[in-house]
Amino acid sequence: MDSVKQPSTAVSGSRLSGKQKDLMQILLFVAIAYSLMFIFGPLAYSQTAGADMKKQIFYHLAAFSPAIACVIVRYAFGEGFKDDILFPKFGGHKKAYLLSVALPLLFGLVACVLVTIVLGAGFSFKSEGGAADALLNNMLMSAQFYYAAFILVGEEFGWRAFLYDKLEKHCGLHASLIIGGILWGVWHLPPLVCSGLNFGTDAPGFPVTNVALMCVFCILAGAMMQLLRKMSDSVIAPLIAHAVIDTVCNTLISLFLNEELAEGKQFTIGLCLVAAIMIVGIPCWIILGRRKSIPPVD
Amino acid sequence: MRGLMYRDMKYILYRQFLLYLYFVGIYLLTTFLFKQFATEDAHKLFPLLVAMIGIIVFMMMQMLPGQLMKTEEKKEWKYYLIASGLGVKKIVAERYLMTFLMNFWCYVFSYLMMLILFPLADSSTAAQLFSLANMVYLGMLGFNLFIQSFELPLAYRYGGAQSDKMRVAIWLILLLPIAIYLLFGDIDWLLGENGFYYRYQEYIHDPETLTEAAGSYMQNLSRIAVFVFTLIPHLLVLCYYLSYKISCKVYVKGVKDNGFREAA
Repeated sequence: MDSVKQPSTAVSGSRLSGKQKDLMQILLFVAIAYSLMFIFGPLAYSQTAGADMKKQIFYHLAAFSPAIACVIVRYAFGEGFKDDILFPKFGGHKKAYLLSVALPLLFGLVACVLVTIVLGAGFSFKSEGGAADALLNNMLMSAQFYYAAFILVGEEFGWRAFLYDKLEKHCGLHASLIIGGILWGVWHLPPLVCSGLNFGTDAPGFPVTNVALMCVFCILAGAMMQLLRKMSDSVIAPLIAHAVIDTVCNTLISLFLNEELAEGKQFTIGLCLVAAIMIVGIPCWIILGRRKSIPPVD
Repeated sequence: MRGLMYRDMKYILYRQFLLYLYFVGIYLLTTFLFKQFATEDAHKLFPLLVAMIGIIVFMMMQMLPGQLMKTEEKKEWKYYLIASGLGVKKIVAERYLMTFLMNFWCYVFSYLMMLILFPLADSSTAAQLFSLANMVYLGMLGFNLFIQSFELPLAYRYGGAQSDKMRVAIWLILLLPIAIYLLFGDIDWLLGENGFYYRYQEYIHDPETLTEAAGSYMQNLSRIAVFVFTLIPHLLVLCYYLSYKISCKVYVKGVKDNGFREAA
């Protein structure tokens, strides 16, 4: 009888133990995701780089770098996409999908309240066109949800569908959330430095403070996303949550603030965002800790 | 579900590859001729090329999902799928996912074709024109998904072979009122002295005027119009979801009533 053929892959030939293989996968993943982001990110986010169309291409390459890295690593190690966490599983996971909208909205509302209190804005509509204008802005952002979701496929298919699970297998839940969050936060370096993402460019100790705060934000947001990912057994729930944060939540704050009040206070607003994610993310982390985690390899 | 997607992708890749080559060939030839023989005012012809991409992509969006429905003609195959334990919901969900992915791929394809054209552009107007075209292509994607959300349940209920006839019927229903209006209605706004048709002649040879007109049109939209525009993507998702639910309900009945058995 013929012996059963083993799948031939680029790396599986080398006799790696489970733990070594995971480590190699993580390192390769990080190397690819970071190199793509650090090459194309500055070109995409810089204020002076070339024509709009080129910037768009660079932006998409940078935004999709984790997904590209995930595909390359999965195929290089002969893993493929046997686990079907890429598919939505609505049946039996309705609670997770409801939470994927509710949790980010809660985060947005908490951030909104904190920003309004800290900046002393008062809870009245500050938009020039009044409440109708502010609500219209939010509606516009909600329409952009689908485009944001498409762009965030690039991130979620890398971080949640690959890195976090590998890290959890390798070093346990809590370490995976911390290391994963730091890796995810540092990956944002080009937009943090070039366009002052979330915290502005006039923060004290820029850009080190920005990167550190982004890492804290990503660690806690990672706990929320990972909870949703495990509850739904799919990356679609964290994808929805991420898209809601990037669209609707970002404009909720504009209900009570106008440009005059917010001018030059991007760092304060950023700090409020970190405080808000602490309020939402820490309970998620505790709940996640109580759930059955992935057993470590070897 | 993954297996079904793989099967569909293989079918599409093999059967439609020539179609892609044909379209890309025509497009590349036109762009090459444009580059070789165009004069200094060549950039004024960009709207024509952008419109050409639009027509190609629209045709592809119409053709590809229709082709997929024909892969499930045999009754044996349909019974096999039902007996496989996958469940009707997953079988139908896969087709809806593939239909969306194919339409989306056509949109990405339009983007890639614009990338070929972009190095020929020399002005910021061309960049604005491309972003305008991008919005039009996105609109086409939405419109096609809307049409297909009607077409798919009908195709599931009355059989894949009927899907082409269904598409023609849907188009007739959509176009008949427009045709009647064009024949018997007041169309001065279209063909009058200052009508859209004559202005379009101006736009097609002058991208600057076109982008300016589009920009001022967008700025002058009322709040209600903007609100309606923002609702469209959500309504489209709802429509597609309802269509999926209806298809799930009519799937088994469609299998019993339609399809043909292979000769022994």
